[in-house]
Amino acid sequence: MPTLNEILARLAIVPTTTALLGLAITAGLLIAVPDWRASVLALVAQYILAGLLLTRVIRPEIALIKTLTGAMICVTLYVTARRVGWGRLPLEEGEEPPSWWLLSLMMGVPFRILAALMALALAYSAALRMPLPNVPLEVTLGAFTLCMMGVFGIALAREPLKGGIGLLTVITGFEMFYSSVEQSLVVVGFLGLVNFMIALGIAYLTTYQAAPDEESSA
Amino acid sequence: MQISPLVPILCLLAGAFLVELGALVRFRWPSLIAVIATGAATVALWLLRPRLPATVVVLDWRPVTAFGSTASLRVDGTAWLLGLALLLAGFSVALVWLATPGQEPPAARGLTLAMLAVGLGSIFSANILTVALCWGMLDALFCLTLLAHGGPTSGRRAQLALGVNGLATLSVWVVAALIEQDHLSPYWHLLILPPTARILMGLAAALRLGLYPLHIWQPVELVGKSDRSLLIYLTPAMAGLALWARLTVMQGLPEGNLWPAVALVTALMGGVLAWIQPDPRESLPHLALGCGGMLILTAIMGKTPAAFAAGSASWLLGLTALFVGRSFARGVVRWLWAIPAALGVATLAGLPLTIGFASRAAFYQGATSGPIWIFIFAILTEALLIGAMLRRLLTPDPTALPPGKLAWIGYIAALIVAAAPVVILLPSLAAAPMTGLSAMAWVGWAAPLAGGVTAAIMVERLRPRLNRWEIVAGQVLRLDWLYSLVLNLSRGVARAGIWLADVLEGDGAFLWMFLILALVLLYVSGPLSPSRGLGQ
Amino acid sequence: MIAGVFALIVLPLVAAGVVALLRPFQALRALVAAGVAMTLGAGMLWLPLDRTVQLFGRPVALGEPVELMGRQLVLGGADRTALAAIFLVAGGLFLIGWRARPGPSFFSLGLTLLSLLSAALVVRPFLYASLLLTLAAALAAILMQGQVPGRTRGALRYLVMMTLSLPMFLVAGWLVELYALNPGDVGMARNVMLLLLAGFALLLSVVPFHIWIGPAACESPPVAAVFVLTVCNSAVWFLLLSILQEYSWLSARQDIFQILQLLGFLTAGLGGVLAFSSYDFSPLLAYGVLADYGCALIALGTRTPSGLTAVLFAAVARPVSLALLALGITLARERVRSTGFEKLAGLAWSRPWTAAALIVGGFSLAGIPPLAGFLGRWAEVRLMAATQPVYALAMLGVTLSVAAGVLRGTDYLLQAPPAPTYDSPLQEPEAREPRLMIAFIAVTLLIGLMLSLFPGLVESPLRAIVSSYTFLSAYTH
Repeated sequence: MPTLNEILARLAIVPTTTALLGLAITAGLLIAVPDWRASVLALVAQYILAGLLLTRVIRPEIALIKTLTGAMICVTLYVTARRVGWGRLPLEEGEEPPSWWLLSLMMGVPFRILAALMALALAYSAALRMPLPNVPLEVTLGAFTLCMMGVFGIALAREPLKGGIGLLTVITGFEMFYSSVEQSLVVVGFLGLVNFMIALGIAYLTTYQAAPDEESSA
Repeated sequence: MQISPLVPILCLLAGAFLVELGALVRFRWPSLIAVIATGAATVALWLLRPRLPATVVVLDWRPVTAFGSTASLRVDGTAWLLGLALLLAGFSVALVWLATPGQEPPAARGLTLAMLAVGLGSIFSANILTVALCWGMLDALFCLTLLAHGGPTSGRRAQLALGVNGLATLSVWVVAALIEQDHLSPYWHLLILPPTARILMGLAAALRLGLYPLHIWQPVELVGKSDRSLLIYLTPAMAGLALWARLTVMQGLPEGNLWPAVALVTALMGGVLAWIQPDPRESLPHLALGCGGMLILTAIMGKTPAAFAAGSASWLLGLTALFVGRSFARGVVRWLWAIPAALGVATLAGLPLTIGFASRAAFYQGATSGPIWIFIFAILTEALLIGAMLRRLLTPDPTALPPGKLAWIGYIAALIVAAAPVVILLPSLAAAPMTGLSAMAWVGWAAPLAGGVTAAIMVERLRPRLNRWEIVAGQVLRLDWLYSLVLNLSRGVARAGIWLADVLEGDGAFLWMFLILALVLLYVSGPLSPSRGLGQ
Repeated sequence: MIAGVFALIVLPLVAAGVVALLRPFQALRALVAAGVAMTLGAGMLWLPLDRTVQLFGRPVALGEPVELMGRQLVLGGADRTALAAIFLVAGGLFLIGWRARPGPSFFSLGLTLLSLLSAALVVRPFLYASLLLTLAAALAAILMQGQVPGRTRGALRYLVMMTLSLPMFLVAGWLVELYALNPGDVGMARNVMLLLLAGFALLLSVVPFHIWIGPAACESPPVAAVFVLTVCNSAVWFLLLSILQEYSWLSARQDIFQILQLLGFLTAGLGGVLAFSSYDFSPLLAYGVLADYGCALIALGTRTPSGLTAVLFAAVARPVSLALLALGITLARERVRSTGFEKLAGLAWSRPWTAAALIVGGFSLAGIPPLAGFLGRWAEVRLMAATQPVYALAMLGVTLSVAAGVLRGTDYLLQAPPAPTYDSPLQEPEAREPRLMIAFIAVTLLIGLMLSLFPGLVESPLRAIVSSYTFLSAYTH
């Protein structure tokens, strides 16, 4: 059985640029695609890629803890989303879903893609103008990308799940920087707990968002 | 025996509490409690007279560094006279309740007593903060009393009262803040009011008194039972008059020509509305308004605090005697019943040997040296007011006397308590005798009396025309339409606020928030060098 | 020996577990939760800080510091009074929750929140406090949501705001450690100040971070919303004070207080405008409390003992006003399923206690004399009139605006009740107002009246708090 270091050594062949690109794509998907399945999957990928990037600046064990925490969060969100039926389409009851092109227009996908691109551009500009201390440029880029994308995700969200995913993205981006300056295990543990509690809160809100209103069902 | 200024107030509050408690347990004689409470309060206040000025700290508001002053009472000569007049009026009304039981809900009586107590507190207030506190409580009790009386318009009237009187309280509060700004003492006997504060105080008094056009809170729908609802009209207005008296004493009246004009317009409106009122028994609110306006004018023109205080006492007791009492009717015994009401008219008209003479004489003495238009309009206004009072006095009262010997005794006592002081007791206590009135002053004093008699006679001849005009003029002059306009305007402003809330807190709330943040960051990052980054 | 700090943190957690097991027994849950909270609150006030006492045969040292995983948990003089107030207010709200339908998890979550908030106030350094506050925020979001189907906007926004503050505090904590090594670095000090200001702006819900308060007030069970607005908010205020006390170089900067005043001004102004425009008691509660927060920030910005005294008086009165409003809103929602003014037309005639709670609570929140809220507002206005009259004018304007909004609601409540129609709720048999709720309203009214007439009752503990904050300048007004 390969050791952790061996696994990481194999994963290290993934170029930083690829990881960054992957982060940008996953974060962009979180904004652009309203579908919950895609969002949760994108979040999983995001945590993995963030963990990979983090190995450049912190101990691999700690990066792994963060990635595993992220995975648990994604499992929680997945179960919740599945339980509530993956959200609702903006259609009347009994209405036939239109073509995917029309549906994507109805859900504002082109606007969201533009928003994602704008967030990316802003993040890139900010990262170049305000490089973060103690971390290499790629981590700075990653941090700013995730933070900016997360902020846009929160702003454009209409449901707790999407809003919560945006929030988790922001926290992940922040942790990419903060983990390099504060490596205390207590803080790491606390941050993991905070992330998990946020996810629980999001799961709870998502469940009750989808619950039928007593008055309308009466 | 040393009596605290708090004792009369506590007597009334205890009475109010017991009346309310009695209502809960269906006690049969709540009016008796009211009579005892008001009587005891009157006696206690009388006993206070030898040791004026008397002070007491009511609420020890600590820390003083936070609140500036404590809630305290200070009874000087002016406050004592006004307080006594209020208590006598309250005592008289309580005796009427006893004589005619079951005419109104017990809860309303208890609340009226409490309102009386707080009104007394506002008269006795030693500083501006205490006035603000008392007025706040007065607002609440006034509204509760209105609601306890019930009626289809009581709710709207209570809300209007809260609004207008609340503004009065707020004005006093602003003055307190201005006093703090200038590091002045908030205590009346040490206070020097800056000009802005004088205007605000004048506004507060005007709102409280209901000077035209701020009279809309007065519950005109209760006129049908004036003898029992007297205190509802008179107590809040008395609080406003007491404030005006304070300002007169400390020579802190607001300056400018606006105030005489407002007072005169108020008096004129009150006079017109009272005079054209078809049923003179329902003219109480208009007479209160009109006579109140004349009193304010007295303070401005006469500049004699003692005369103003006497006039305020006359206003209170005169209206009480007039509306508790009965009008003239044929028959030897029946006209005797009209004497207290006649004394009420006499003092309101300022006849000699009454307490009202001092203020009317002082006004006309002062008016002779003022603008002529005030002199002339005052004569016209007073003619209308006196004419309305005479109508009230001379229109036969169709209601029967209270049945039963005990009820008669109670009613007679009520009449004596209201009417006797205006001729027997208070004139000697109140104002210094007026000497040296000029000839013009005497003309001004006498002309409205003649004019009033004429107006009382002419009104019935003009009744058909007046009936037509009363409907239109009454609606216009009451200004309900203006206040509806103002309310609609405020709704328009509110809609703008609703739009703002929708924008800032609607679906795009986060976008707006981040946008504002971004703008702030751009602003802040100017002095912050971008190349420094964090921690470098 | 039991350290008092541990009792503060562990006992509420244990009680939360017990209360969760008592789920079918609402009254018992409320009583247990209230009893625990009030006992701990009373204990905070009466137990001595500097020596051991015997409680039920066990030695308890309230002021004994505790070290946990290398971090210090210390209960200071100001902290204990603050925690006492927080626990007592929470106890009162638990009691009201007996009948006020705060949501099934209110008691257990509330107790857990108390535990977390206590830990946040006693832990050093402050970055752990921010972590604990974020944990608390997640639970508070669940508490606020109250299992109301379809209503999550307020809770979600609250969670987002509180969480976004976390990075500010964490980075500020890191920079504070660096600054200790480089005390001459002015730029770093400024960055710390800005980060802490941003963090507290988010936590205190100043404009534009207030966007959760309105939806929370409209959607959440009223008592749950009030719990967050008073208990959780108070903990943040005390955290701010303790940070200013701990870092004298921070509190020596005048610009931090000027910025606080400006933020307070904007917050109070917006709260006043929106309160004036409200046609519903739930947003009126939200914007009234926003205005109150703003006025308190302005007073704190004077950096004087008088300013802090004014803030504390306002903080004492706020739960009373909000509790009244919460009771009124609960009853209104039970009766007509709404708190909109039009739906409440004429309600005062059939439900006088409901109307009294709404009206008195609203005016008290506005700061009208002689109600409880007047205390703090008058102290604030008086202070600002002497030093910065523009802010005093703003406060008076805010008072007037909120009062105008309440007055509009009063107009509707006092209208002649509409004639019943076929579908009108009035067609149903008129149920009386629940006696327990009437009792709660009466007691709360009495507490408010006592507070407004006799503020000296709380003067001593407040003076103790003020005197323990030495960063306040000696100049008093």
